[in-house]
Amino acid sequence: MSTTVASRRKPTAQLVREHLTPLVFTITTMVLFAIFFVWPGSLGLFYSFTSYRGVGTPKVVGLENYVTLFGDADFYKALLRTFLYTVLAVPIHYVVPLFIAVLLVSKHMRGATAARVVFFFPWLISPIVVGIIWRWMFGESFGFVNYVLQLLQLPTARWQSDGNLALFVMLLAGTWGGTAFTMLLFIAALKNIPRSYYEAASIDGASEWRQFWSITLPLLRPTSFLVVLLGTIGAMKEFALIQTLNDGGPGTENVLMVQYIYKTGFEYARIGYASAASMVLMLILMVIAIIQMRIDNRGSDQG
Amino acid sequence: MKKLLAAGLGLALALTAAGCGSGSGASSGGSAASTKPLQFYQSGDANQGNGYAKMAAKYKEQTGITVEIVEIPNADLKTKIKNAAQANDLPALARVGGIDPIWKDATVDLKDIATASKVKMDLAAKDEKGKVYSIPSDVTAVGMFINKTLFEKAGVKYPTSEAEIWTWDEFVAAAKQVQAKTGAKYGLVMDKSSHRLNSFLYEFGSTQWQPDSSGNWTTNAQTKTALEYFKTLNDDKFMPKAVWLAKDDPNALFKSGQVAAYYSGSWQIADFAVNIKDFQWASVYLPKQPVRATNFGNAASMVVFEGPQAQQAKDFLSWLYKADNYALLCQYSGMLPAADGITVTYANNKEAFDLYNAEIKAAPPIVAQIKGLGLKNEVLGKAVDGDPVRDETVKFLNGEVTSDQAITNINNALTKGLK
Repeated sequence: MSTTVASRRKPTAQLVREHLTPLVFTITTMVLFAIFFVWPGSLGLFYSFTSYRGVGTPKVVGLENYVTLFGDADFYKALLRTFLYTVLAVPIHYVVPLFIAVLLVSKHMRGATAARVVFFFPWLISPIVVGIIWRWMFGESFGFVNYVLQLLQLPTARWQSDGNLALFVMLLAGTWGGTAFTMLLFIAALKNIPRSYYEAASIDGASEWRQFWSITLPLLRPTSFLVVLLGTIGAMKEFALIQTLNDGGPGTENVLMVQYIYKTGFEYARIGYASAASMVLMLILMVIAIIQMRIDNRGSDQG
Repeated sequence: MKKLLAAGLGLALALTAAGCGSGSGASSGGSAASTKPLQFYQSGDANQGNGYAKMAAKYKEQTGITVEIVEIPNADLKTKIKNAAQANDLPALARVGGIDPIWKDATVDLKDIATASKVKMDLAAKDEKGKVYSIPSDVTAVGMFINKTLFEKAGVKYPTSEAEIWTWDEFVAAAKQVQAKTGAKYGLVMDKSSHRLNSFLYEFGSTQWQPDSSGNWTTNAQTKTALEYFKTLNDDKFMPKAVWLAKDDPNALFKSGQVAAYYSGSWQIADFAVNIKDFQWASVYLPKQPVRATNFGNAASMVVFEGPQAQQAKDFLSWLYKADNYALLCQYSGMLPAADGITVTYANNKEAFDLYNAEIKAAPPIVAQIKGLGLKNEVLGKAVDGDPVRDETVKFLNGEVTSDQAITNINNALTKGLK
């Protein structure tokens, strides 16, 4: 190969490198995105305007599903309960993993590796199994917790047939199952904070508590944002855990949005209606995400 | 390079074509499908399932054809088959709770099997043209079990002949006495099921739900009385709330020996015979208030789905319903036969099975009428989505709606689906 040929071909090679290569790499993502998001998403959007019941040809009914949905008391009930669950779950899902992460990276900590394995373990278990485990623990007639309460001569509690206690068990199980992942995010972020900041602070006489508030927490800001965003979306979409834990019970008191969609879509075969509810949920999630990003951006600008 | 690509493409096409070929070839019932096991969806407890498994093993011995029994929890079976129909992935045959409009037309006519085996035709789903969509797998009836050990320990009597049949008030008083004297945790558990609840409603004189002259579904005043009564029982002292309101398992509760009575049905006999060892149990007459009634009917129905294995599945079913084989299945599974002229030699619990037969005989005509109405609607493709009777009762028990609201909601849901 002569040098002249090489120099003549160079622009083409460069063109390929600069344009074709990125395209080849992104094309996989684009195809996957199209197949697994755009296509089912559009199909769902289309179904939401039909009275589709799972078989036959969908019949277009316009906005009827949405009109019914906005007048459906069960929908609002599920939505309100979902908001309540989210409002309670997100702070817990933030504080507990942060607390554990701070403990695990603390210089006073002994046996951190073993503890990390223990705390990480629940993350390896499917949410369905998490639900079953906690159902057994908090079973009303035979549950472990009620058994222990009985042994201690304490009154037993109605963990499943009392709506608020059932919600409490949901929060507990959700926290137990979700802590590991958030904990890892926090550990990584905590380790990235330069030690010199703390050293300087302690020379200036700042207490550990003061250091946490003034150094750790502000520097965890990007991670915190991520955790809150993921936590909010995760809580709004909680499903598998509740399905096995108490099936949205007692009665229909703890039926959250996704379970409501599942029930109308698959138990009642109202695919069109369930699709409309899904679209509304997606819209709510998008609004929440955008608001949170706005808040984060504003915060960063000021900082 | 191009040649290689073309060759590869050609090979791929050839493979796909071969795949289609074997699929369509098998639809004629040819030998191509014989290597694939026949999938049989069903749900039941270990003992019921084992009956079919034993018969499948026998069939394999005789014909070399494998019937793969797929156990699906009862709560999921309906959804599972519905989803399978939507995904075009139906099994060869199934033991289903009812005919679903979604897959109704994907079933094969079972008239010849029903006729040949003298199957009880009242319990078969058929249309006016004579197509038989499903045949009953077996008959079940709602019934009550008591923990005999607890009753005896408390010295409380229970009816042992038809003359002594108790009212609900008498039964509740008796069970409460058992609770008080033995320290049993609960007096009664009942399956979270509209089938059991309907039996309870009949006993209070309810006519259940039927269309009125204008086609709107409605019920009589006794339904409300019965529902209100049921709520007073679900007070977490006499009946545990978590069974109807959450997911506690009444069968497990009864088996724990901590519950005086269990309102369930004949299908439990086989299970209890094997799995209850710590105490003695007995089948007793259902209480009446004032109507003596048991909700009976087909436990489930057998359907064969269209597809490459339809003929094979029909062959299996007609073998299964031959008098000798069917009697054996009933014996293995502790089932009441749904065909005439079948003599089952129950190894155990003969007295329990006799009691159920007496209860079925004494049931008022309304039970069969409602059953017939249900089957007729199923075939017409009219179905209620979900289970409004159960779901509204749960809401009522949880205080989310009043009994009047619950009944109105049930009326509306049934009218919407069935009118």
